[in-house]
Amino acid sequence: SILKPAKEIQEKDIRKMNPLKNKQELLRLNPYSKTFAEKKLG
Amino acid sequence: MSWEPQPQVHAQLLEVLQNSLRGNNAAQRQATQQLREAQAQPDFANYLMAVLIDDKAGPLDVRSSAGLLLKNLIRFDFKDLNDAGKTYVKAHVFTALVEPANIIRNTAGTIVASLMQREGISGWPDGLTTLMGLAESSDANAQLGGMDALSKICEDMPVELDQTYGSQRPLEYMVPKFLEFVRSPDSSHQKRVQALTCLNHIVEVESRSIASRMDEYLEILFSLANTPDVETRIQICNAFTGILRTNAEKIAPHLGGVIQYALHCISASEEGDTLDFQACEFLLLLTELDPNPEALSPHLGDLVPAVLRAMVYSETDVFMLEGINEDDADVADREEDLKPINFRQKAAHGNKKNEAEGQEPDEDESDDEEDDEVRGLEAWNLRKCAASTLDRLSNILPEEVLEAAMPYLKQTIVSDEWPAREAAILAFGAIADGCQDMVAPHLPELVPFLIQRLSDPQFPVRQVCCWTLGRFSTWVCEQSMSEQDTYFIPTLTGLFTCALDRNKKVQVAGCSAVATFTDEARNMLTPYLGQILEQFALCFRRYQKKSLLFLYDAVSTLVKYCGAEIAENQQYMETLMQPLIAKWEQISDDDNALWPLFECMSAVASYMGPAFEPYAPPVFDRCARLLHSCLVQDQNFSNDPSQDPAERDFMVTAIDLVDGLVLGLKDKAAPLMMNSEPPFMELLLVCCHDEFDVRQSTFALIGDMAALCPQPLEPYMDQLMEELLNQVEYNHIWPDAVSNTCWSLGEIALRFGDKLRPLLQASAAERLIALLRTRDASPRVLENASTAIGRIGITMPDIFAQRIPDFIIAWCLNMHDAMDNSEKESAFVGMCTIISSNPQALDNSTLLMFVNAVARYLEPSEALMHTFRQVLGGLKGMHPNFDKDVTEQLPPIIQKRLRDVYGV
Repeated sequence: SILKPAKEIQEKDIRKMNPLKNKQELLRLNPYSKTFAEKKLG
Repeated sequence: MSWEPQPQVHAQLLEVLQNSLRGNNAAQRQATQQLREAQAQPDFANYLMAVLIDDKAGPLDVRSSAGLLLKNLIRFDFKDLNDAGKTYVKAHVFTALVEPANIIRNTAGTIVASLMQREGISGWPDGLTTLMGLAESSDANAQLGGMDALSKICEDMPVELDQTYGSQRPLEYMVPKFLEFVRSPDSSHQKRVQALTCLNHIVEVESRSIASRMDEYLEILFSLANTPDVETRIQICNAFTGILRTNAEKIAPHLGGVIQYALHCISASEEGDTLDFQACEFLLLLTELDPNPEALSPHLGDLVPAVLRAMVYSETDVFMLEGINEDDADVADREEDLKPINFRQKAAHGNKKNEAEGQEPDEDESDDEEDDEVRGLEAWNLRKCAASTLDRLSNILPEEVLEAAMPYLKQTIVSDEWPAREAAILAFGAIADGCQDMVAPHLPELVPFLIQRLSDPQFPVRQVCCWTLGRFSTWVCEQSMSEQDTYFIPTLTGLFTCALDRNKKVQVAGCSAVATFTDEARNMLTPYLGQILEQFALCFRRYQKKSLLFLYDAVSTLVKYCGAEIAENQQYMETLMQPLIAKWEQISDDDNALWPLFECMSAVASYMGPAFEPYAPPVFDRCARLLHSCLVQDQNFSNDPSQDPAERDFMVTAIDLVDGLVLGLKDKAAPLMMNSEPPFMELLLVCCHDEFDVRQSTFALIGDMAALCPQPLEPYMDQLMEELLNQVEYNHIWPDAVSNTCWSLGEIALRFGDKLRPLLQASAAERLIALLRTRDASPRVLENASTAIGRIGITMPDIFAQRIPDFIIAWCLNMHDAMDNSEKESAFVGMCTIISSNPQALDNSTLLMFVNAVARYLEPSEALMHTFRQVLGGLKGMHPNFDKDVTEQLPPIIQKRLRDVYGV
């Protein structure tokens, strides 16, 4: 639809990017994450 | 006259190579040095080649190490190889490529592939022809050597092979040959595997030479599928995966058969081969490609049990896990344990160096094998691939997956064999998301069971249990308050017990699960803050370096939701701060353990507000001091390149920590900055044109300062705006830095308004409009640039008024889907001002865009709604055919909203 539904409140700070936020995401990866395994090899 | 080695030099090189492999430490070091120096000799490459080919009776490792040195010379120091050397290598390398010894053929193969890469296909025209000739010869060694080199070339340069040289495209004659090698009953298993390897690389780049023969290729694969040779089967699985990735429609008619084949390979695989892993890769890709559930559904009854079994630790894994000392909480972590979390650290160039020296890594790096195997468990493997597949499947067909899995899981989760128990718990975690509605009725039973398993005697079970329980956090937190004693409190307590486990892996799992749980529980944790903070303090005392990273995350997450409650309570505040300060004092300024501490401190400072004030001065001073010393270090580096430049993460985390202070203390942070020596703003101005990650943090800080403590910025506004405007320019490598630049420009404009006119007048419009027109720019950058235009427009609409037609379309497109927030509000206020100052600039189509963007603003404030009403009314008044040209062109729902809310 043209009028989008009200989005859920986003937790992420959308204004400015904190360079280290992605580190937190990496810490919370699941135990079978490919990203984690690959980063480890790279 | 052809080149001939001098016997004396040849003998000397042999001796040095021997020493580099077998000498004592001192002799090895000396040999390495000698080899490095020898590289300057013009015919060094010739001599290496001579050693590789001439001493047929000589030790294989010496010959091979000469060959690897030659490969490295070609690969990394190509300029040191003269034409005579190249000619000699090209003339003789093929004799090594056809030798009986595997190691010599492989070494020669990598020399050929490296040389082909440096020379290019057209730079060595007979190279490929010779290799294809060898592959077709009747000699088995020649076939294998030729195919080995070809498979390396297909891996390194498939795109180049697919281009046309003169009238020929190499793959057009190579692919039919490879297909024939695979098909021919006369081919050896090894040759067939090599030909499949080549074809699989070629499929990846979607060459038309294979695409046009896909039916033939598939037919060959099917007819070969029952081969007893495991390596061939592995390549067949890889082939199916590659074809699925690039030509899914070709495999679709055969999908059922291929799925069954992959399942068969998984069950037929034996310990030690990777057939099951490669077959599972096919299944995972299948589930990742957004498949038609109906195509998968008939196979679920086979798929689910297969992946569940594949998730169980293998016998080798179990043997290893049971063999290691699980009581390791007091064993210090090593630097490599921290990878990849400190992933910005410089990539290890060790590989090149060690290979180049043709020898094993230095003595202190050669870890015992056990450690390597333990780390192997952390690599991407069958177990993880199977768990990912189950996770994906549960998102595609939740009911059916649960139905297929439940009987097996119910049985195995209570198994006396811990690997079966462990895998069942992992499986519940994997389906927790996809099957959440269907699992819910089982949770009143499952959650207490999992809590109990948090104290399983086997540490891998405790470890996985933490994670699985974390995946059910939402449900645990949703249960009614009266059931807190049943689920909520035991979960929290159990996870903290694991966070304090005697095994470091369990600690990390427990601590991560606490953070995940906190994200769900939020301020439901308030009544327990005292105990939680005590537990954290215990963790701080016990943890080694790696576990600390996860603890910092848990602490940062807690303060995010409960910061205000902690700040209000002096006792809480001390329990939280005391261990942080202990770490703060313990870690030295050059230790990278400072980075995660700074990040955590930044979160604490920003969420504690004024309660952080007593701690702020020493925190700020250390950041400023570190930043200053990094800049001094860089200065020294630029004068003397033999020194090291500063590590950027010290600067980034220090700036982010100051940002945390600004967010927490607001204008009370100003005196800290204004009284520091050298002046903090002067350091920050240097950081404005540092590397992109430093800029990204710098502009984030400057934007927050503009909003919350602008005073320190004022005296530096001229320089600051010059830096800022210079960087309003798109950067495809690091768009987040540009995003922050634009955002801070908008914040500064909002704060300082018309005072900036002399600084902005000349170039702001030019640069922002150019940025808005960047192709493929990230939406975040475009949104922040559009916001900056609007915010400048609030007080200086004239800067943009004459250029409305140049940006209004892009602006509307960027803003109409933006989230309703204060940025968007001020951006629209400014745009209304800009348009009101030059409404004639809108023609029918741009008017339509703007009216549409306004109508789609869902929840404007009262004031903004009033502005919209005025502006829309004005525009309608100016356009005699407003209804026909504008409103009636919009969808009915928008028309209705315009009429109901704004009366147009």
